[in-house]
Amino acid sequence: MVSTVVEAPMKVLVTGASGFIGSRLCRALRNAGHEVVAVMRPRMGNCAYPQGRVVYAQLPYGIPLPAFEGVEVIIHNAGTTTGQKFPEAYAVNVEATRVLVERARELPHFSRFIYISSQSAHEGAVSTYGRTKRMGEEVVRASGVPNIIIRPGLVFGAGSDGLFARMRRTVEKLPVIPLLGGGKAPVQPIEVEDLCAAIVRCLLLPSSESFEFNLGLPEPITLAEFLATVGRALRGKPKPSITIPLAPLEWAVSLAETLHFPLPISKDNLEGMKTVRPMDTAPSLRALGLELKPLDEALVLAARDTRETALTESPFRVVLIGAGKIGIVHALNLSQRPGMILAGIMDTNPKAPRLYTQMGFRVPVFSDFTAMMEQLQPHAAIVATPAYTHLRVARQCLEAGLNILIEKPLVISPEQIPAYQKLVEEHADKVIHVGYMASQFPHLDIVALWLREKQVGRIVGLWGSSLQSHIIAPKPVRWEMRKSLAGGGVLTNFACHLLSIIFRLFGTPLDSTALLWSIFSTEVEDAADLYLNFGDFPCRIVTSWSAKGFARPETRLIIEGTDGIITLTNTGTELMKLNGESICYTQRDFDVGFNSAPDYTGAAFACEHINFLRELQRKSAREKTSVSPVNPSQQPVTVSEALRLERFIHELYQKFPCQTGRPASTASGLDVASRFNAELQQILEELL
Amino acid sequence: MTATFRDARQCSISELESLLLVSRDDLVLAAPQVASCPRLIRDRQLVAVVPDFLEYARLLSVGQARAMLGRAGSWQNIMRAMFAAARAVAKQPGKALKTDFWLVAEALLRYDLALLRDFHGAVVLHPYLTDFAVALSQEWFLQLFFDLAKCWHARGIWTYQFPLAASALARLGIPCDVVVFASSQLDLDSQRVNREIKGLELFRRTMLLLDLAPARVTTEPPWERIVERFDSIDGVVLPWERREETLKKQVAER
Repeated sequence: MVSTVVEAPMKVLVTGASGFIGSRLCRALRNAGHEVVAVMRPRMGNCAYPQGRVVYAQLPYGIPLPAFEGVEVIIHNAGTTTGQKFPEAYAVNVEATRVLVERARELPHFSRFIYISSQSAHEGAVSTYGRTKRMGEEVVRASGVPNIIIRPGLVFGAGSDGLFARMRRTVEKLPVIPLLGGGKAPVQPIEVEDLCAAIVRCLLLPSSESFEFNLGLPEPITLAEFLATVGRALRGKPKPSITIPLAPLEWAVSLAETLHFPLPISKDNLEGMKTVRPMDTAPSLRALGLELKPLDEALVLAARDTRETALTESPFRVVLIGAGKIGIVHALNLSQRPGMILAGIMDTNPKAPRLYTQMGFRVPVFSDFTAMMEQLQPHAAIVATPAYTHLRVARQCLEAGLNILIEKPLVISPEQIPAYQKLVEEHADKVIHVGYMASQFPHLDIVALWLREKQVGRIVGLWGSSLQSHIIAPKPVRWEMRKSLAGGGVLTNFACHLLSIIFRLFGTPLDSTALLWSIFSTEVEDAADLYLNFGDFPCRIVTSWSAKGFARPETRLIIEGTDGIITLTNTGTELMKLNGESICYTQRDFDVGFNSAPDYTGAAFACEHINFLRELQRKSAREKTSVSPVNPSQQPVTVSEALRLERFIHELYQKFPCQTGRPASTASGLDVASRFNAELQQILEELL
Repeated sequence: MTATFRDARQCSISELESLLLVSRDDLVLAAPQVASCPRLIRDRQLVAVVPDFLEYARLLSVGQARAMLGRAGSWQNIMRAMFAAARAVAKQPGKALKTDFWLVAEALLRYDLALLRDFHGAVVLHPYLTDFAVALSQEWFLQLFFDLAKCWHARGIWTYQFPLAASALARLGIPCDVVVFASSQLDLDSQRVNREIKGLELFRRTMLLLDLAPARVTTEPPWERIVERFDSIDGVVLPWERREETLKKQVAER
């Protein structure tokens, strides 16, 4: 018999952690003092997490490597029970097992692999589920890693999820209990907490040996008896039953599955039912020292309690305000990064979130702020509305008690700056970050390091370009072309990212001059040529959102030094020294978790969200509920940092009025003999 | 490793024609490019990315549908492609009225596939659509793509979410001829998955191409060194950038 005292807590990775068994298993492991890595599929909407550090993953290949760090035990509990889809069942029950076993083999302190199989997994199994579970067992046995295979019988328990809950609902709803094939199939029920206790005890077995345990009631009962007990538990008296012959039912279920009509039972369930075999469970129960709860008593409790759940950890609920294009990127990031949940979407235009719903974001949508607050009770909001609404929405969110990540730009005119400063003072307890995501690129850290180490010697010039094919005709007049809505043109809404990088690396320039052009817009600049003076070296930036051939926007900063150059783009950075040495890092070299677009600004968005989550966790002093990537070390963009940049841009607007049309010459300003300066001049001339 | 593809999707038709005359590289192209110069590309190994999602989405969002059609080349091409796209719309008029995202994606997909009538290379689904489908549990769209592209010599996906996409393909049980995935020297997850998927019969004959185009900075990344970190790579996709070649020369001259 196994001792129940945990002498050494272990780090345990559990797959299928949000399911009926998995969530309760995570709780049991935590209660026993173990550290849990809870692997589950990504979630959105109103949901809770199992106990432990959550990792989102799709099986069989999707569990990120950092999730395995320090893991001593893997419990592969995930399994697909859906219908007759063999590839899916094989991928989760067999291939994922193979992958997990391979990974386990490489873990330095690995103790044991526990495979949650099934009573259906025997050599005569005909159902997809039973066959693939059996194949999974074979993979585990052949692996050579210390392992335990557990075959539970029919798992039941309180709560509203899992097979038992479906059975209970059927019994509850129907006036007569339908008994498939007369309900003669033998079942060996086990209450879910008993099963979890057994699995926790398995961690204490000597890791030098492998074991196989059959868990369930030692004396099988029939399914009819089991359902009758459920019926009695629900009504206090027996419920009538009716026998349904299997053959016509199989035909009907098969037809329903062909037509994709959802039923509470699948053809595979029926196959499994026909071939189910009793297990000898007594030796296993004895070996684990497990005494099962009396069935009648446990069933009564389980049948009556539909509220019990082990999904009790609350991630930060974040709402997206503003269902535009940039909001899609935020929503996608929220949906794939544990710790913050996309709880809902709000837009004053009720039709706007339709695109999101169509794409697959299954969350509640609102057109009214108050209703959204009442229903979702969110912790935070991402404000992705048009720029002219930012101040109003930011104030509304903060006054409602929300932390905010607000898209850039903050202001559409310098007069709004004091209002933001006041907001920050009044809501010092709240997280307020600003969406200048480019200055949170992980590779910017590397550039800062190279500069500190003087890898390129003395800086002789900064040469930047930001080009995009966005405003390429006078019509339609988009909101970005309206000064009153957007606050400005290409500088405010696009090149600001490059400027935010420069400000972060080099501070605010001593002085500046600018040439601004309207090409298609009438109220804002479509192109700009900026000259910034940093004292020791000049800086030139050429930008336009009316450039040809830039469906994917491109930003580039060249830091020219006496000993080499550093190039920084959206996708990465490179140090090229005059001695021929070259070092290159790309976005994908940094573990930022989900990176939606490594060809563009995916890592920057990821870091922006990571920084926001970290600050939410810090301010709420809450335990981390998810596994965060180690990188990046970047800091978020605060309101004061954003305002410094925006004040600078608005000063440029005041000092240098926009020229309309295409000027005959662009030659003015900086006269520096640099090839990179000449290249920028060429870009500008081609542009205009 | 055998194949080296150049991603020339950003090239204009005239640039592409010049490139094809001087370079013997295998190429990654968008469907309208293939349709516009069929003679020049005949003897090359090609990957066509369908639909040209980023460009089409941008043109449609700024009201430049005519420019999108103009990229298809001849009138015959345009008519054929539009007819193909219309079939998607006609199937689900209700969704079409609401400009349903996935219906529009299907229409664009059919549009581009219609431009590839005599194409003998590999047809791969655009990474943004692949990744939206796998991240948002819309894997049915992958199945739809493979069904629509069944007449082509080789079919596959391009993805920036390799572990997610490979998992989705395994769960769907779709035999996939080509998988193009973005990665880098320190991307250990992708390196791991690259090794793992070859253990599944479904992927035994899949051509795995390592997309290093997102790694473009100034010069080409040291791709031979990156490739060494992957166990089962059949080729690489490298960027084709004029400006970067110029910059490389400038640094060399200094």
